[in-house]
Amino acid sequence: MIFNSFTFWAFFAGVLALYWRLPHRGQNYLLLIAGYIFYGFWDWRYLGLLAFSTVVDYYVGYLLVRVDDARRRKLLITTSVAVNLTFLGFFKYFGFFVHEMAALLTSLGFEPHLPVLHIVLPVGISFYTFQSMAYTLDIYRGKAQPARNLPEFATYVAYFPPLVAGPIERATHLLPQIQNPRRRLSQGDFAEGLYHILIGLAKKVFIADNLAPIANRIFDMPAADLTATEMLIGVYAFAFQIYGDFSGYSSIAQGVSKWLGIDLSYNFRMPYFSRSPSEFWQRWHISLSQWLRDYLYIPLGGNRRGPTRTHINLLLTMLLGGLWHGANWTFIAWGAWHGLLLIAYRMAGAESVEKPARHPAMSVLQAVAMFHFVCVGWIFFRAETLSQAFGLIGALGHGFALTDFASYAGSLLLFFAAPLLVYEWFAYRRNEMLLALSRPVWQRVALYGYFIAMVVVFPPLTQQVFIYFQF
Amino acid sequence: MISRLGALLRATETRVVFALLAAIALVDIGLRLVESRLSGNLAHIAEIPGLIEAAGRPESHSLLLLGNSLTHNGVSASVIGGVLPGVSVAKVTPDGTGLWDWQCLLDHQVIERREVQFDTVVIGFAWHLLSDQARNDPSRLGGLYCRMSDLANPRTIGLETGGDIGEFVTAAVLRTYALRDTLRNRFFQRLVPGYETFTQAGNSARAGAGEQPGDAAHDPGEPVVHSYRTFAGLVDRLRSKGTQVIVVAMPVQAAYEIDPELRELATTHSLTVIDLRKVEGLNGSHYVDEMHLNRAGQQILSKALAADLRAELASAT
Repeated sequence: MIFNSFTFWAFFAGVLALYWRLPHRGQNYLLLIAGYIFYGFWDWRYLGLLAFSTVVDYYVGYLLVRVDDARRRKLLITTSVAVNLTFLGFFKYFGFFVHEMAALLTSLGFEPHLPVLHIVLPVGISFYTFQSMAYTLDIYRGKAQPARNLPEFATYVAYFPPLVAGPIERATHLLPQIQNPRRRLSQGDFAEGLYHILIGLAKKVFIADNLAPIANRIFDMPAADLTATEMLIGVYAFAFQIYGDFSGYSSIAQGVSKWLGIDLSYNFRMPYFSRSPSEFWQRWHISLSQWLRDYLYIPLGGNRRGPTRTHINLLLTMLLGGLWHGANWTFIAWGAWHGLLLIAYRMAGAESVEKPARHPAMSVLQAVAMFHFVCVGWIFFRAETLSQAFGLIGALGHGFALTDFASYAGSLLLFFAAPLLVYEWFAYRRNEMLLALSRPVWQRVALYGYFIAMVVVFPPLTQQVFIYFQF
Repeated sequence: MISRLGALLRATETRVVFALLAAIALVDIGLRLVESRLSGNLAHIAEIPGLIEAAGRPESHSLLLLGNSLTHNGVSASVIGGVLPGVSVAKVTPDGTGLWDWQCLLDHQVIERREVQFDTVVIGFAWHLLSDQARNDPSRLGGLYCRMSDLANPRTIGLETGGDIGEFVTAAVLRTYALRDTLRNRFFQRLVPGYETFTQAGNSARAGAGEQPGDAAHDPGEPVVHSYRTFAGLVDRLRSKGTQVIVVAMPVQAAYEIDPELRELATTHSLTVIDLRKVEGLNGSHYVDEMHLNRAGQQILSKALAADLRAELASAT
């Protein structure tokens, strides 16, 4: 059940019609049931996994506040982390490590016979395991209170808007809202929800899904056959595809949740106008970067142990961030690239880049440079192999000829991505995430009319699933 | 209650929603007024009821040529009419259609209309376009060929999922949505250089990757077993109105097989299958692309079909 499907909206209409008629406890039970139906729609066999992870983490949280002994508390938190990482490791990384191990043994002259399992990756496992793990870790650190009962915690884990592609909600933010008996839907909430849903659908259906065939076509072509212009168009198309896809999902999740009277965190804040890598990570997939910062980078020592250790910590955090996205060397390379960018900017005096530039043109130049650094990362992220990624980068030397295909693909790229870029530029300049809501009614009607017209008239020729479901 | 309603209507966001709904309704009405001018295909769809009524008069011998662009490009109604004197011929060939569209079209425009009577319906097809596994476009059905009443039993018109039903209903209600492909293509043909060429190249690449034209999406690893239950039912309904059904396997550049189950229908449901996949005199130079004939090819195929139809109608009488 994907957000851009009629099935989801029929499901949500049903949930909404019941939800506001129920008392608080009934609302939570409805959210719990809806979450399991929503998740089970992909593959009901993995509902057990979600339930098991929920039960383990609930009881770990329950015991953590009742046990004083440090060793037992450590054992409890280790159990929670181990269970979650085992699930994640088995479903996501087992095949990769077996494959790499076999390749290594073969290169050493052995004939390995390692078990090969064809496992379907449970959708959204990386999101809900991280969310559930953050809950026990926060209780262990004394930063969060445990849920009052199992159904309440199960509702928190299975809360359907962010369930399969985030944002990864912390217990400190989402759980109190689930516990709040005075949930309400105000005019402001309705307006905000409507805005998030419409812009999210436009980002997903109009931008991401229409740019996907362009990016796919260019990434499927041999790098030797591409001109530099075509390669750049392919990369830009993918940059806006993944942004539209993922931020579109997060936005719809936020909107849907608003209409249920629950706030979700912002996962994106106009990231392509960032002027430095650290600013980019404060604007891109914010819930994951904050998770990695709080549960990996800071425990590793953060920036408290000198420059060399800081650089190592940054690189390690980004490498693991890359691996979180999938079991492939290309994701690891993407993480390494971002780690190196963070280090390079730091060594070059990162703080000076993050302050407002002396001249507006300098800000633009810094943002353009950063966008292109991000695009280099996207080449690794989207390529099937590292050699393909390097081949594509090598295509920059093939000349900037404007071929017929480049004119065609470039025109489509402009048509789909440019209006969003212009709108977000205004929002960025005014530092308003909800720019449309502060505008007069007629401007809002015009903007929403544009979103609706684009979604209705320009849906993709083939419907695409959300990219981040696979992570 | 009234004060709550008044407060709701005064609320800013409610005004935004009402303004949007009004704008959508206006655009929809405007589109309904001009839609037949948007494309030749939509103009043809608009004239279908009239074409059928004019040719399908009960007092004369009549023949309906039904198909998609293969029949549109491949068969000339005047050539057929010339070889079959005294028979009024209607040619109904909306683009991109297949079994599910033809079923609704025949049900609502031929079978259910008392004033319409055809002696023969000739349906041009290729691949598995008449099978239950033929690709279905719920938007096209909802917007152009079927009626809301068909939703009483969605599976009989090929709607399998809740998503299909949603698409059908939206297209039936919202013209902008039903005609989105036409609007999109018209817009891009004007604005995007090379749009037609590169879009067709993309479609060909998909076809080359094993996607057979007309087949519904399926797992590439799983072989598709084609069945003809829906088509058999349609043939029965037409026969009960006294209409003979003839299907014509149309020529395309790449060879394809006629399903054994379709051939079996010929014996169990008194269906006639005319096989024109290979026609003497037709060669690669008679095609404008992989499947559509040019004017010279149309003349050759129409003469061959007319000869077969004359023999068939003579034997039937």
